[in-house]
Amino acid sequence: MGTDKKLEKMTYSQAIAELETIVKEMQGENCSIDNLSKYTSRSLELLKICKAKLLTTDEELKKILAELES
Amino acid sequence: MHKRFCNFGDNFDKMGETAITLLEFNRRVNRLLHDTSVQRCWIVAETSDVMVRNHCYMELVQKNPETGLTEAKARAIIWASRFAVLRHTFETATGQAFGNGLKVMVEVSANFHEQFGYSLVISDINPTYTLGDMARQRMEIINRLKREGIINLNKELEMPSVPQRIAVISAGTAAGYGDFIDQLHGNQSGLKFYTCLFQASMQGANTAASIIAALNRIYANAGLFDCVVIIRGGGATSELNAFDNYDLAANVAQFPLPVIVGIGHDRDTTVLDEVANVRVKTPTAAAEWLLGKAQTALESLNSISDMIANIAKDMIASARQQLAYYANTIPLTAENTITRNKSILQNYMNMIPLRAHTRIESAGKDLDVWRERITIAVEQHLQHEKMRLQTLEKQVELLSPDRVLKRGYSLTVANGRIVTDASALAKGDVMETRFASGKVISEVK
Repeated sequence: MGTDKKLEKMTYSQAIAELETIVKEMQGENCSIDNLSKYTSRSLELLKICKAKLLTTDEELKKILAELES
Repeated sequence: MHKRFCNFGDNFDKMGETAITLLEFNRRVNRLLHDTSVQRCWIVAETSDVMVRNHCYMELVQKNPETGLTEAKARAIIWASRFAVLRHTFETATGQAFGNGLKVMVEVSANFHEQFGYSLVISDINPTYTLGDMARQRMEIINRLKREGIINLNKELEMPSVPQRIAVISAGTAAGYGDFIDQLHGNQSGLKFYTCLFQASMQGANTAASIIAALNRIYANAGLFDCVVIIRGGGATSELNAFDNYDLAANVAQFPLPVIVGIGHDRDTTVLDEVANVRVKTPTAAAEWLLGKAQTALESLNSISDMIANIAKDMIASARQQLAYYANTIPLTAENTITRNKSILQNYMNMIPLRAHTRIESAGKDLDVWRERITIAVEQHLQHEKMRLQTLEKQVELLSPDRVLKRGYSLTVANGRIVTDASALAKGDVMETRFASGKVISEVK
């Protein structure tokens, strides 16, 4: 697994890149069942923040942009 | 004199000559202009001060290409009925609203109106000429951008996988802007976008400068945005010339955020389209493009999630299968080992007597051979000894006293011993002389 970055500071691109790395690792020959729970729990966290970025409003950003627009 | 000048007739006398009224003069000018060389004549010129007020009024000008100074100028008019036809023809062909600053080829007739003076009446227009000129201008700008090495800069910027923070350059009141915003924020999937409008005038002479100013305002906050969208409300045609502008193109090309352009036209491309990172036709299409990116991202998240679940499921299933395999295999293997070893033992058990028997048999045969050989050897030995005995017997027989006596020798015995030396005898000794047949006893004298 790549860098164990703080989730809340991750960008969408970073999160999705890590997800893809995890999938690749899991598909690899050397993935042992011992790593399975580590991989799945990390990927669930990453999926959650990615989805949140797509589907949840960042009120703070919305406010900043509203001020900028006026 | 006074009287004559007070007479407002058509003809006046001036110093004995007849003067005519301005009206009459203008009529004469007008009549002169009926000459075929200035009627229905195709000319090329540039439009300016175009104004449509029922009829279409404008100035046609010719500028010195070097200095840009006006070398010729004439007012021109297209009658309303004709203008409707010509405008449609022109705008359909060029994708360009009929307006100022266009190089046009028009069929004109000189006209002199007694009251309004000299003007040209336009009866036809050749859009191909304008198209050619626009293309030439575009090509010049594009070549310059290429020479300066900046034409592809914006296109080469990587668009974030999900552009959500969008700086919008548009006229705030434009229908196209409203469509864009509605489409983007009202999407069914609940995808979130953040838009911020940077107002600009999207038509008229000020367009390029106004868009550049908006870009500069965005630049100051570039970190807040993923991309810039430049949109302009639909309408079949409009002034696209503004987007074939070097300064605007150069600014967009070098802008640090990817720029999406949707300025609503069907014409091939403007220079702005050439330099933008993404080019779509309309504001709605721009919104659809952004939605598409986010939708794809969402779907790919779902598919990654499925993929991870499936891999995990497969791994667990295969681990279970492996366990089950061992659970079945180990006892079976043990049993097989036992059976195999039993069968090996059995083999030995079968083999040992068989081998022993064979060995005994073969040893028996060896014994027979040896026995025979020994017998032969013993017999030979016995025979040999027998013959030696016989020889000895013969020798013994030859040497026996009987045989010697028979040959005429005699044996003398005295005092129980054989006499071989006469000196051993003394007087008076009695001796026995033995012959082959009989004996004689005598006394030594």
